[in-house]
Order: sequence, then C-alpha cells, then structure tokens
Amino acid sequence: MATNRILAAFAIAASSVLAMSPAQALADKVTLNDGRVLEGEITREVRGMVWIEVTQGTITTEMTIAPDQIKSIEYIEGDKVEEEIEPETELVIPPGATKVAFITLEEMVGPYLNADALMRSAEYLDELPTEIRPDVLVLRVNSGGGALLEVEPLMDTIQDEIKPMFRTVGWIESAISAASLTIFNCEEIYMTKEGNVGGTVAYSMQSGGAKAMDGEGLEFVLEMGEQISANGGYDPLIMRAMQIFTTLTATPDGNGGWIFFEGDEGEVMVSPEDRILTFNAIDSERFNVSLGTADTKDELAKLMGLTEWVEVGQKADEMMVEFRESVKEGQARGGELWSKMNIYIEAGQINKAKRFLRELKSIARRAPSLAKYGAGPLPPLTDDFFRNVEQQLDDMARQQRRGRGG
Amino acid sequence: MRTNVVWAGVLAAGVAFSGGFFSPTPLAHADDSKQVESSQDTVILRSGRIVSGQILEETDTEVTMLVVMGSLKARTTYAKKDILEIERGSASDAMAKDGETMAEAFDPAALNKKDVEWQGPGDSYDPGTLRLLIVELEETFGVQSSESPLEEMFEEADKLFGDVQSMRRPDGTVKRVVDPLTAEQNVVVIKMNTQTNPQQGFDGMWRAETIAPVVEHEIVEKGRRVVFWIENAGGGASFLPWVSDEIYFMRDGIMGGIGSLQDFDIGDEMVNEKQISLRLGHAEGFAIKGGYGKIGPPIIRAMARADNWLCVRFEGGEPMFLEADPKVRNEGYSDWVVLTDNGEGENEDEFSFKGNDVLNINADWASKLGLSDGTADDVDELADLLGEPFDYVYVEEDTGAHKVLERWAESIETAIDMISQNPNTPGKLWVEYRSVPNDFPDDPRRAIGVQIRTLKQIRSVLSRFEEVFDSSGAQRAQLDVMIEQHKVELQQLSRRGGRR
Repeated sequence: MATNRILAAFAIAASSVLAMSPAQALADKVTLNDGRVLEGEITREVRGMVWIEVTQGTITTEMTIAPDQIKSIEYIEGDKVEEEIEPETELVIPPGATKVAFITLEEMVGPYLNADALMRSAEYLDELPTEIRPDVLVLRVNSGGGALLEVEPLMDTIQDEIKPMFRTVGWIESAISAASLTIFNCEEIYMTKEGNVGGTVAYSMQSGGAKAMDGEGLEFVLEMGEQISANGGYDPLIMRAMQIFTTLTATPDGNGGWIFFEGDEGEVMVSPEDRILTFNAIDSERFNVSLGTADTKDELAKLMGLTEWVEVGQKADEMMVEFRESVKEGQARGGELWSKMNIYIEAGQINKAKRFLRELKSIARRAPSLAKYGAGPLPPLTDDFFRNVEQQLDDMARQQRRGRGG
Repeated sequence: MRTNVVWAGVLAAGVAFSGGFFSPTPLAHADDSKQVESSQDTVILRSGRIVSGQILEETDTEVTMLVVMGSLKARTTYAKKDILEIERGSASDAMAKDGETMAEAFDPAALNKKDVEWQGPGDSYDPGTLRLLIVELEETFGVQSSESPLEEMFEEADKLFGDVQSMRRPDGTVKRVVDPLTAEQNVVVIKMNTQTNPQQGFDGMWRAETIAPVVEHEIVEKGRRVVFWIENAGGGASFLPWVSDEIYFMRDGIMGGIGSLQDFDIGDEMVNEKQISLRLGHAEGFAIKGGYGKIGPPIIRAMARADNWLCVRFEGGEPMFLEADPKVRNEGYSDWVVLTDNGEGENEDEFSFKGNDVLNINADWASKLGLSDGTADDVDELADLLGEPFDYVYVEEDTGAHKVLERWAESIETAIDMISQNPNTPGKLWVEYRSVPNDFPDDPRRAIGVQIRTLKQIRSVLSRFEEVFDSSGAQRAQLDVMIEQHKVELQQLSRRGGRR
C-alpha cells in the first residue's frame, strides 16, 4: 500500500479566518508593468507565463499574464503560510493515521545536542492533547560529536524518559563520536544517503596534541558503549570497533542477520585492526545497524511502515532550534561581550561594563547548557559565576564612589 | 540521428545567405522577417506541434529545417516518422530554383561566436532542442566560487530557460520546479577547472559540503538537469561533481588531489584514525547521495589515502573492486588491474603526484569505472553525449548567470586586496588602519575616528563575504571589541581635551 503523508488537513476554526477569503489569506502577488497588482494563487508558470487565480467576492477567475507584462512576482513561501495558518486552525487527523514528530539534534554534543534541551522538547510533545500527541518521535541527527560528559545524560533521557513515551526512531545524517553513542540508544535507526555513523574514539587535547582515552577512563567509555548497544539492540562489537583498534569480521546468520567476531573468524571484513569504524549508509544497512535509507520524511515513513501519517508537534523542534541559536550566539559572542566588559572596567565605566554582563546573562538564560559548557573562551556561565562577577563590579563601583567622595 | 551544430545566434555581418534572412542592420532585419512570414514552410508533427521555418534538406528519413524563433534561427532535424504533414512555402521553391541548398549557405563555421546570443524566456525553441548553459568554476574553489554566487547563478539560469513553474503543495506551500516537459533539454553544465587551496588537502571537503547543497537542491528539489564537465577538479572541488549522476570528462580531465589522509597527525594514532574514518564517512556520503553507491566508496577511499589498495576487474562490463593486495589473497595479479597499491616499501612512488599510491581519476578510468558518462573536449562532443537525438544551442558567456559568477570572483579579489591579513601582502584597509596614527600625529581624535571607520569597513567586507572569510563570525566579534576599545579611547581623549 502506498504511503501517504496527510498534508495539512486543516479545519478553519477561528471566525476571524472564516471572514477572509482564501485568496486574501494566502495571496501570491503579481505586479504588472502598468502598476496593477494581482493577488491570488499562482497555479502555473511556464516560460515566464503566469496563470493566477484571482478571487473577487465569490467569483474566481484565472488570468494568464505574459512575461513582458510582469514587473515582479511575490510568492507566499511555505513557512510564512504555515505561520499564518497554524495559530488560527486546528489539525484534523484522519482516524488510523500515525502521528509523527521530528526533533533535530545538531552540532556539538553537550552545548547544542543537550539532554536537558531534548527533554524539554520531548515533554512538550508528551503534554500535547491526546489527539495530536505523537505516536512516533524521530530524532534527526547531524553532529560531529562533542562532550563525553553529555553522553550519559542523553542515554538516560532517551532510554528512560523518551522511549517509554514514544516509538523512538533515529534518523542519521551524520552521527560521529558522542553523537553515535547517543543515537545507538534507538532500536530503529535509518540513514540519509549521505549518512555516516561511528568514529567514536574518546580523546582529549593535551599540550602535546591529542591523546586517546586509556586506563579506567577507556574502560568506562567501553562499558558505556556496551550499555548503549544493549539499549538499542546492537551487537556491542560494532560500537567497540568504532571506539578502539580491533578487527571486526562478520558471518551471515542465515536469517538476514550477522554474527560478529572480534578477530578474523568471520567471513566478511567489517573493520580491519588498524582502522576505526565509521559506517556509510550502505554498509550500515548491510550490517543491520540501519533499517533503511531515506532522504525525505515521506521515504522515511514508508520505511517505518506507516501507510498514513501526519506530522505533529512542530513546536518541539522549533524550541530546539531556538535553543541552538541562543547557544550559538553565546559561543560566538561570549568572548566579545566579556572583552567589551573589561574594556569599560579598565576605563572605570562600571555601569557600561554591567551592560555587557547583562547581555551575556540574557543569552545564558536562553541557552542553559552554557552553564555547563561555557561560552567560547569563558568558563561555565552558572548563576554563581554571574553572582561573583556582579559582586566584583559592585565592589568596584563602591570604591569609585568612595574615591570620588574622598 | 543528431544534426550538425546549431547556433542560436545571428550571422556575422557579410555572410552570404541566399534566403536573405540575415542582415547586419535591424531595419533590414525587420523587413526580412516579413519575408520569412510569407515564405515559410510548415511541418506538422505527430505530437501536434507545428513548426514553421525553412526546409534546408530532405532525405527519405529526415527533414532538416531552419526554424525561426523570434529573432533567432536554429537548424533542426525531424525524423519523418514523427511528421504528419509538410506544407511547403515559397522559399523552398525559390531555393530549389536557385540550385543552391540552404545547408551549404548555412555554414556554422562562418558564425561569429561572439555574436551568439540567447535571449531567454521570450524565445521559443523546438522542444527537441537541447539548451546548454555552460558556466565554469575557476580558480580557488570555495573562494572565487562559492554558495551565494552559485545560488544566484541558478536563479539566472531559471530566467534564461524560463522553464520554472510554481507548484503549490497540498499544504499550501510553494515549490518551484522545472517544467518536466523541458527538464531533459535545459541543462546547466558546470565546467570544473578549480581546486581548493592546496594547504587544505582533504579537508577542502568541508568547503564542498557547504556548497554542495546548492547544487543538490537544484537537482533534487527543483528537478534541474545539472551536469559536471571535468577539466580539473582538485582537492575539495573533487567532491562536488559526485552530487550529480551525470559527469563528463575532458580528455585531459583529472579529478583528485586529496590523497593525503594517511598523513593526518594530531598526535595519537587512534585519534588520527578516528579523524580519518569520520572524514571518509562524510566523503563516501557524497558519492552515495549522487547515485554512485556501488563504485563511489572504494574509489573515494583509494583517492583519499595512499595506504589503500584498490584493484579492479570487470565482470559483464561491471567493475568489481578488491581493496587488498591480490597476491595476499592468493588471487594473483592476472585478473586484476591495480589502480592503487599501499604505497609502502617497494610500492612507494618516487613522486607523490605520479604513480599509483593514490588514485587521481583521469578521463579513461572515470569512463571505465562508470563514474563518467563520457569524454568530450568541446561543446559539440558534449552535446552529442548529452542528448543524442537533439539539436542544441548553448551559451557560455555574457548571460546573467555568467555575470553573477564573474562579479563574485572580481569582488572577492577586491575584498582580499582590502582585508588580507597575510603579513607579506597585507590588505589596503589594514595598512590604512595601522598607518592612521602617523597620518594624523597632531589630531589623535581624528586618527581614532578614521581607525573606527576603517575597522567598520573591514567588518562590512567580512559580512558581505562571510561564507568565505568568516563563517563563524569570530573575526567580526574581534573587530567589534577593537571598535569598542577605540570608542573608549575617544571618550577618554574628549575628557582630556583631545590630548593622548
């Protein structure tokens, strides 16, 4: 059966919208050379010719405009249309359709790909009214890895909080290192065509360069890899070959699966001894890490076996995107605001210095992960950090007043 | 069967033409047009399409016409099996009487290339005519060619072809797509003669990752036929062509220059391998996404690191790969062609840019391995490969699409002249910034004012070309701090009455 995405079956709920004609609500605009502006729905464009349905009162007329009559065309683009509709309308979900929500997990694990932020978005979805609460949550990952510190909270969030709420699916564009550990918690993983997953060696940068984790630290992350593999139902040897040098081979089990070996026993070489494993979309599907490859939501829904589906809870991802933008602002401007603050401290202008601190504090409020990971060159932007700096600025101001008074 | 070269243009002045259609003067042209109206032949195709023009040649199987489209003419051949009826006008009769075939007079070689002009959406071409917009990416990939000018180039291509329709999706959003009826005929050819900065090595790929989505959008979302024509695609630029399932090579064409991953070294062998592995994961993704899933990953691995074996043999015309030394596998070399060895010991090449330690793909192997769809040194050959049954017209200069790319390249050069921080060739604005205190030794307030203005100019250039110079915004943040510092200095000077 064909997979159908149920697209925006909107029932107009608000009377204010009912009073508007569709053409007025969703008008494309064609401005003609003679100054006239036609508003309506552009239904077709061929070689510069434009067909536009213009509604006046109850009559809709299709007009054909030659290219040489047209000065400019203004389209109502997708997002704008949705923005106009969503607050005023109500999504109608046909019976039997699967409700699917998407949350994007991008950039560095820790500050951006963050357990608390993910939990906030998931809770929003969980609290939606039953009729629009998602059945499936797709976590779309595009991250080159990041802080190992965040992997455990992410594991707990996905395994203990999100998976009991929704059928949880990983959809990988890129999941490297800490991001691969994150997404291996999902039993269902799909890849985009350009997708990659792996490269999970834990390391730190030291004065002499990079240093792969060893000793107890390494034992800990290998155990975590095993735990995460168990959560997602993957052979732990796969994650191990992503984490350390080891030979990984495999033999078909006769039922479409594979038996993996740490060593040369298997028939097929998956990852040789001197390499670290990163799967591309083809190999991840071949070795059953991925259940299939999809570039679009429709393709993904088909792979997930959804015959009819509707996207819900877009706000959850909007929250995530806003969060990431705030983190980005903090990372990009943290050092700048700090330097500017210091310039005014040097100049003895404490009130101006406080202005930059307030700006930094405002960003930190919108990006709570900066309290754990800092912003650019700055230490973690915790409440204590701000209290401490504010205290110092207050002291300076007091000293100035005393100095002026004396 | 393909017809000869067709040029969408006007004849160079003075070219003899018995039909008298062409004239160097607009007035005469107008008159000639009237003549065309009264003398044209008409061919009615089985598809229902009616084509008017002048029949140049007729054989048992084909009719070749000079089709008139607005101010342009194009030579087009129709198979007789596709023709329902031919209505002959007076020109053909006159031609026959003159005893001179139009084909003899209409000599493509006599056309002046500079006069070739493609007027865009207003033109009407026969649906069978292949229209090629050929743009060339030159110099440093990611600098002189970048995502913004490429986006604009494609917008200009849409205008030129006039073939984009707006489709409203069921959810009310608008999608712009190429008219499926002409999607095959209207082709953007991206000629690659470019490479990333050699210092970037394999990591030029990250630049390709930011540029590729522009082309992918055109191909996947809009349905535009985009093909790559490789003269030299080096470093990060070698990844871009993989996003299209149509790649052509020039005979001396080469794609590669990324075989340095084995030298990746940040201090720890396992971390190095992690970094190499994740990079290959991204790189292989280019190939898989472009439809080269079977051949792409092993080829890219052999292109990327010198310690990878890649051997190939052909079974039923299909390449089969072995990423190991055949001798070690007890298979011997007889069946296999070694494209790259492991570059170790006696296998190490004397010169890294020659030999077989890494794979740099030439036209021959690109074709054999199925990466390239053919080899062409000129537009005529390329058109042959792109659309066998079609006539073609093309433009390779002077359109809006070309101007966008040229303007960007020129502006970038100017920007580099202005803001370069290379100590050997510092940008003019930085030189000015540093020299200002000496220029106004007695007027420090003015000096600082000029410095602030100069820093703002530098900031403005960075913003304009942020994708090339400052994608993270870090440099601009630094400038903002410097500007703030100068503002404080100005305030302090004011308090001191203008003295340093």
